[in-house]
Amino acid sequence: MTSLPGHRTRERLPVPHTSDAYDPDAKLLTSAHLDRRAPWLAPGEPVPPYHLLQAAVTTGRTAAEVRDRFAELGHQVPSAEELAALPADAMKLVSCNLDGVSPWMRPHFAPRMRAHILWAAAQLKRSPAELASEYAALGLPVRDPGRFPASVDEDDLILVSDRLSGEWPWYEETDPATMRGRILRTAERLEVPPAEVAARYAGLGYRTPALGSAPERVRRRELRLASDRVDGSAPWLADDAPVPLRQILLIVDRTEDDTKDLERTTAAAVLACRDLTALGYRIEPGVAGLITEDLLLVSQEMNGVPPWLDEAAPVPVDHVLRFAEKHGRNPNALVIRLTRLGYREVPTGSLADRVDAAELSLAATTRMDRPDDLTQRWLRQDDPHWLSHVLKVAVRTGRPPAEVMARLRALGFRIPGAALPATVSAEDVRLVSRSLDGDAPWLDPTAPVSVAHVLRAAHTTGASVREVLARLEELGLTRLPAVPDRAVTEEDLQLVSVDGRARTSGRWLGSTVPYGRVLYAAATTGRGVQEIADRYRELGHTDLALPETPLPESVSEDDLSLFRLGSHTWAPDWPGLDEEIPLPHILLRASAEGVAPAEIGRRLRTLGFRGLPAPLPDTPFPGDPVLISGAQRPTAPWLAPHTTVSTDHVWAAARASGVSPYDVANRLLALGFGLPFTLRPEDRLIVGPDADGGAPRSRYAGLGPVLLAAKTLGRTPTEIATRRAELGCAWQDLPETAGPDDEDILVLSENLDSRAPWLERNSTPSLLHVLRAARATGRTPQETAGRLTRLGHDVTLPGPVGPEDIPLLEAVGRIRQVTEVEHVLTVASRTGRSPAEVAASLSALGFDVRAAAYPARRPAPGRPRRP
Amino acid sequence: MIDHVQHLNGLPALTFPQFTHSARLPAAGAAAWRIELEDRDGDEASDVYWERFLTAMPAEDVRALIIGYPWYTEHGLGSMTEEITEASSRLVNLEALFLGDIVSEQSELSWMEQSDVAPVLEAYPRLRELAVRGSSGLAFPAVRHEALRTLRFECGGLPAEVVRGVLDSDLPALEHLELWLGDEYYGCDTTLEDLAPLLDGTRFPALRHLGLQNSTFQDDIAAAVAHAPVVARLESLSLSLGTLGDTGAEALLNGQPLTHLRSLDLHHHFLSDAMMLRIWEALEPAGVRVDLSGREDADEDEDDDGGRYVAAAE
Repeated sequence: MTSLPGHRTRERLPVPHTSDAYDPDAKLLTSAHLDRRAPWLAPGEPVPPYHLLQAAVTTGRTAAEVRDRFAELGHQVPSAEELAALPADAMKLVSCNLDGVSPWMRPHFAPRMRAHILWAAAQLKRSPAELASEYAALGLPVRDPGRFPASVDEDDLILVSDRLSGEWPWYEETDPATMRGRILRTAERLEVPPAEVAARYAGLGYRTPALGSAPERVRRRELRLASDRVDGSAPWLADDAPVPLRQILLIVDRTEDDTKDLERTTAAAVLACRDLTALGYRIEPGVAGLITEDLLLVSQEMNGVPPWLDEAAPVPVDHVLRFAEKHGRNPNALVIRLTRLGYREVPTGSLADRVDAAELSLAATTRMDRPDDLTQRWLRQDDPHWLSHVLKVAVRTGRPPAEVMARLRALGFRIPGAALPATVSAEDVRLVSRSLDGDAPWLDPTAPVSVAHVLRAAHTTGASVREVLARLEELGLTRLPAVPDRAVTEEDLQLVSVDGRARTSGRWLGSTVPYGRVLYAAATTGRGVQEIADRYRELGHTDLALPETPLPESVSEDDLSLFRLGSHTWAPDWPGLDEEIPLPHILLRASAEGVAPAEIGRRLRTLGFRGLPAPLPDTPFPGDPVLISGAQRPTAPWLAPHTTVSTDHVWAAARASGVSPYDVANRLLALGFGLPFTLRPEDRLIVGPDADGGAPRSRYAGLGPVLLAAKTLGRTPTEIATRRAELGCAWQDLPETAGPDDEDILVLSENLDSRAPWLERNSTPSLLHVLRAARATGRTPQETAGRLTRLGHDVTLPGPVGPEDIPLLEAVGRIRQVTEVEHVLTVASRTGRSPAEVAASLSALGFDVRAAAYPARRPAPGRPRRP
Repeated sequence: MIDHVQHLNGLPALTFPQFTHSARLPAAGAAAWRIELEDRDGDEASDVYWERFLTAMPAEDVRALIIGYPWYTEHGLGSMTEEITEASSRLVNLEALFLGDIVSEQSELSWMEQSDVAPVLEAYPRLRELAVRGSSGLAFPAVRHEALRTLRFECGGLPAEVVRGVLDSDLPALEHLELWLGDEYYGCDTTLEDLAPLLDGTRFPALRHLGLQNSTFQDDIAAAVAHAPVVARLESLSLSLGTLGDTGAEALLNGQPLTHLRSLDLHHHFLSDAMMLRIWEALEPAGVRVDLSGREDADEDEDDDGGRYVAAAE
């Protein structure tokens, strides 16, 4: 068993209010669900009357007694007068089944509260309006308490039940905008006009919509139209906004056999619009008047079939221009048409009135190696990469960049007014591409150009640094680094690459040189950190921060793993001076090296890094990465730093790492995480199986560990069980009789050694266990059975039994009921008895032994193995 | 039927954990190390995991090794023979090896991929125990190995070629031999004739335990064993896991005396109650421990073999 080095218990994060960790009564009362665990009632908030009543029933006290106890615990409580003013049958009202016992009504039942109150009113033959007031007075959430009827019929319960069955589960009031669909569904099921259903819902207090010209009878088709998935069931369409064209087209797709016939599709869509309007849904005018050409316009491939343009996404300007060119339409008119069809993000500004193929081709983005392929992608209306596009088109068409820009502007593209050279070449296109290959990704004309790009361009093209800088400036790139004119060397390129591989690297430094990259260069070149920093500055890098503390004289290859981030060594990320080194990285390093996280932190600090997570424990624990992983293995997803982890996470991490939940909780505190409970040193003994800090096998242990911890800590079993419940163990019912004593603990242990493994809670111990326990305690089997029964186990002895039966039962092993001939023979072989003796004894012990002519001879002793 | 190996060479099996794990590991020589990955995203790369085992443990102290998933599975990594062979200069004290600790949730027995295991025996001259699970692709050309004491083949269909390779091998120290013959449908083409050199007692002078198990012709094997010279020098005999019925058991009772045996393992059988009682009465009072557990009922819907079936096939 691995245990963790101790850490000081911290109480840094919000913890639950409890007056005493061992006050079971307080724990029970102040747990919001009366289950002795989080969430807890906030001490500063008034105790809701419903909770007070539920707590009274749960603890067998009067409401006044519970009120006084809450007051003692520092909670705000209702006055005696307020308590007296509660409804006479309040105890019933706070229970889900109106029977005054658990399950209890809770605030999160709010969406179903109206239906519940109507049902309760019918059951109690009370006025719903009156009951609604009483529920509100009890502190339970009641929406629109003024909108309850004075009476309710049993028939109304059908309307308020989710499945229209008149029984639980009740209908949830969620989005009032979907009530229309619910009404139609009810009308269809009950075969009554929807207007009548709406009136009945309104009479029950639900907010109902006007139904317009809805039909007298609702059929399957209407239900499908009103349902979000066009399947006639919830979720229903909201009626507080127009039904989008996308939904209309979905209806057509799901209700029509042939959607390739555009005329039929259009007619079906128009019909769906008309029917939806009749049901009271709103339709955009443009959608209601859909024409066949609209289907072509809103289909991504302009062919009238899905996929459709997404109404929630911007409509690309090229889509409009291409459609205009293909069908000879005015692009501006198409934009207006799209707006009327419900598309809100359409191209803005003035577009060309007509488009021809030659003009349109100027907007097509081609690859350098496939200049004739115009189908790749299209320039966007506000494309940040307009420069590369203009250069490529100019090269492709042989036109001056200024002319290309002007013609693109005429089409409707917003191209900045930059002055470009009159003639450009493919070389220029390569110069503005980040990979220097004439293809995306591109330099951003508004962003700084990196030193790496300038050096690589010079190295790749054979031009001087000065020439590269001059040409970039002519091409409109004004934020250029001050790179001295120099002959670019392989070592220069290594320095400005992210991974130090000049020839094969695909990643290059930007304007900033992270401090980690400086150290990496120092480690791999064997030079000093200052010397490396000077080299970067010589190359033109100005954004390079060094620590104010003395620089490390040298950096070893071993140090690299301390600050090399990224999931692979071949794709490193280097942290900046003040960038926080992620906690998982530090813990993985510490785990791999077998050192404390604080040691990793110290070494990083010595190297100059300032962004270290806190706190970092001073003791090593290789399982740290498992503890902070949501997957309980040393990989992502990681817990967010400084968050409060759940009890379930603590137990899952404990199970995965083979240590006690106490140790996990303590370690998480030491790592800066919060817990839903306040950890106390004695919890180490309480949560374990043997009151010694060991790791429990499960959180569902029986009574044994409770009694053992109670004895060890001098607490009552109730106190221990309460504390265990708060720490995440399953609640353990306790025997009502006096005790426990050492014999209780002994007989609850499977191996009769007062240690784990323990009998499982409420289990039926084997007869063998009872007999062994009797032998171990010197009691009779009957006394032992009685003791185990008192401790919550189900024990029935078959008849006269005694210790002499133990060998036989040991031989029986797991055979429980039916005893076949093979079993009798096996037991005979194991016990040295004759099969006839075994069959007789097993029958006497209650086994159902198959009848046979069992031999009366006994087996001879086995012989030893030959040497 | 087939579970993960729990012990090997007298050592408890323990899976070597992935990544770095908090659990304190026992000494390298105190466990039979199971090399096994799970089937989840984020598993450690198999080569990294294997190399980490060889470096994290004092490899020279490792005594027993169990190779499991994803090796030996159809869509996994196949055999690990090559890696194990290459590691022989590091695993210098390896005494026991189990190749293919796969259970049905990971791969059906008949889908497992094995290979020629002779290179392993050649690479580990001090190996005392070798167990192989699965027979697809399995080869066992005749070898000479002076240290091997235990050899086990667990499969649903053992090729005659493998049986002949074993019986042609020179294994002077071999004390314990188990052959799960299996079903013809799953690759067993071994016949009684192939087993003749074994039954006539001319092979393996040190042999004390013989298992001819999991066979669809278990009655025929029992009848042959009833008169086989090799039985006289055995301490224990296993005819378990197969289709043994009253005919085979009757032959055993009517054949040479078996009362010199320490144990006779017949578990997973199709004997009648009366025959079980006769076997017990004939042998147990003479000091032979007979395992008669696992009585099976023939499947009345199946015509083949009278509805009897072996314990491990697919």
